[in-house]
Amino acid sequence: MFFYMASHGVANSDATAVGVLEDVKSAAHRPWSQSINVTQLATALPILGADGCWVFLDACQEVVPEILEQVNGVQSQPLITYSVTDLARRRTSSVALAGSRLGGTAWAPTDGNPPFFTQALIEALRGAGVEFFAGEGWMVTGLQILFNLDHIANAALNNAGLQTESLTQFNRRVKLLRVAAPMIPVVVRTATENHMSVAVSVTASDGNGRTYTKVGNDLAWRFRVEPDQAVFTAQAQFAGPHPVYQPASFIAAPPAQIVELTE
Amino acid sequence: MTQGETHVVRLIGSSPVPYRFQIVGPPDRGVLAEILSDANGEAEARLETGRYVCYAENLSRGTAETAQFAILDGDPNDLSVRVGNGRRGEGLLSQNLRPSRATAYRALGSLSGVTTDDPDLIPVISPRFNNLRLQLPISATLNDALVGTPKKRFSVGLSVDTTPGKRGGWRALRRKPDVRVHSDPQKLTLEFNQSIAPVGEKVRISLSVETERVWQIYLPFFSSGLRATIWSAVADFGPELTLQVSAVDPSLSLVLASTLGSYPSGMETVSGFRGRETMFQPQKDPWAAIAVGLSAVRAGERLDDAFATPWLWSAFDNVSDAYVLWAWAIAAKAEKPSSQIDERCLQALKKARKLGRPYFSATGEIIGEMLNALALSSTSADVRSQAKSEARIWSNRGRAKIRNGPFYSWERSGDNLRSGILPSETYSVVVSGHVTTNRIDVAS
Repeated sequence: MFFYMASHGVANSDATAVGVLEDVKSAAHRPWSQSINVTQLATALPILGADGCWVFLDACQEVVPEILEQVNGVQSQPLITYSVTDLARRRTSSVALAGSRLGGTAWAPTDGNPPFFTQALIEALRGAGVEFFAGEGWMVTGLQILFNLDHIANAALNNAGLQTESLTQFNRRVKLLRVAAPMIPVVVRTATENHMSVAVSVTASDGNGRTYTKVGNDLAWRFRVEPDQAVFTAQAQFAGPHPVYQPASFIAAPPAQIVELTE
Repeated sequence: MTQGETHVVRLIGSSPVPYRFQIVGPPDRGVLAEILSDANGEAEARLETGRYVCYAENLSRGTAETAQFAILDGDPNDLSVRVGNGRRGEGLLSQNLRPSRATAYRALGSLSGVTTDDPDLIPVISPRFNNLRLQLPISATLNDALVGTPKKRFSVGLSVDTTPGKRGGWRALRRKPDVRVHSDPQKLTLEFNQSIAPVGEKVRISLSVETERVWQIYLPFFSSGLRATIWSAVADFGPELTLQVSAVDPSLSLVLASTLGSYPSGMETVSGFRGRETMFQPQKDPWAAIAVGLSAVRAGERLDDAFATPWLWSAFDNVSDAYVLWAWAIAAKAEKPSSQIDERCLQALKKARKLGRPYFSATGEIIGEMLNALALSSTSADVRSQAKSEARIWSNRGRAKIRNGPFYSWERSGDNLRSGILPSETYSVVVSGHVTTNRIDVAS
């Protein structure tokens, strides 16, 4: 079972994460009830008996004083109701992740693309968030999604500030989908950021015939490699005698590689 | 991968707390080893020449890091690999685990024209809400409010609850507590080898840093030992201290980590784990037994029968967590939902609430889940109404809390302790001094 919601979000008075719907504030007596309490949903979904429950909320968790002053918080309508007996019989748990921290904000680029959390999630599902399982191959796992999405956003989107928060207890080893040929995002930066743009050439080579070369004039060079655990060496060459950067090596392994060249 | 000689590789976690290391070889070989570290986050593995990925799970925080390393021909037989993501600036930001930023919130409130002096209405602000200045339009007054002090006084104190279950009983310990304190410029470690209070009396640790609210955690005195580590960190608000509690026994740490999220393939596959049954001794160590119970609940396993008999826990009547597990056991044993079962669960949860905050963060979450279920779907209107009222009390109590890994921590709502000094009648101060940027100076 897969649930995804992108919207504006608020923190409920009990610190749970709530995504607001289009008609929020349309009812005078319960202004915030047109909303979905995603934390509660993530808790309740496994009670329905699904083998795996994946819940994602790409929204802020803004602290709104008005909600804190409401006796029962936002009072959103629960999508699933369950008894304590149902709860105690639950055998699985959700992988539930928000693209912000409690009290924090979620961000989107200004170029019209999806918000950063969603982009990082898509990158993880496409193949960055994988682990290898004998007999099964590369699988996207709860562990990589829960703990490494910020890494993936850093390498794939050049966004070093992605913050995520698990909304329920973790489910580390659960597998979502198989990826036949995953590719791992790599970002190479220079310690002084704009040195990257004046480099004559920046390359990454595995010493075995595979060489990637930077094209374009970005301050962060991004590309993708197969997760075959080859050792790559990244280096930057400049026109003059200065600056002089040391080569840096990285291993092509999931979820992402962040390489910083230093002088 | 080149097959070659075997090397002894010492894996070192980025913090001196127990870790679970998972070593993965190249795709054709999969997971090679799953090892529990020692109490200081170090473990040994025997590996051939090759390239490896290592997942390192910090069992005290419940966070995971991924690292890669290569063992090359010609490397010495004994190697050390320091595991850590090594991202730029990571050491500064992610160390800052303090529950809230009340000063920042007040500044935010005054900026938006909303002011509140009621401390209970100040919500939890994210522990990583420390790039606030980057997120807000900066005004001169706000900037002043957020500028940190370069040097702050701090104290760490221990208090005991002399009137368990009732208000106003917190006092300094009657005699000098048996705690070993180690200090270095970056961190302080407090080690407890045994309980420092009589059976039935709770003990809490309090950290007071000048300008910040006092941060508290109940100490579960595991028979295998308990450690509290206080780190220096840097935030936008000036020098900062963070507090982390961990079990000394790595096996118990793994059980505690499983209360945050289950290991579907079980913990028994982890090399070095000594088995949950060895920790289930409720008469001797109620906290470890409760951790085992919470682990079973989180894994969807059957709870030990001991939790269905509240008399067993009456000797530790100050541990509210046991009554939450009792409520769970009642619900789990029921064949079908009924208002009688709901009523019994509610009474057990009420009893737990009256005993105070729980020791474990998983308990706090289970209480919320159970009260929500009762409030929404009990067939008894009275139970629904009472459960709503209980849930409200819990959420009010929970506003100043945040998970401290498997432990429940909170901030005191009062502002009278923001001087970095703890009053001696209520707190036995075990260490105090000053914290400056990335350095702790202990007063002799």
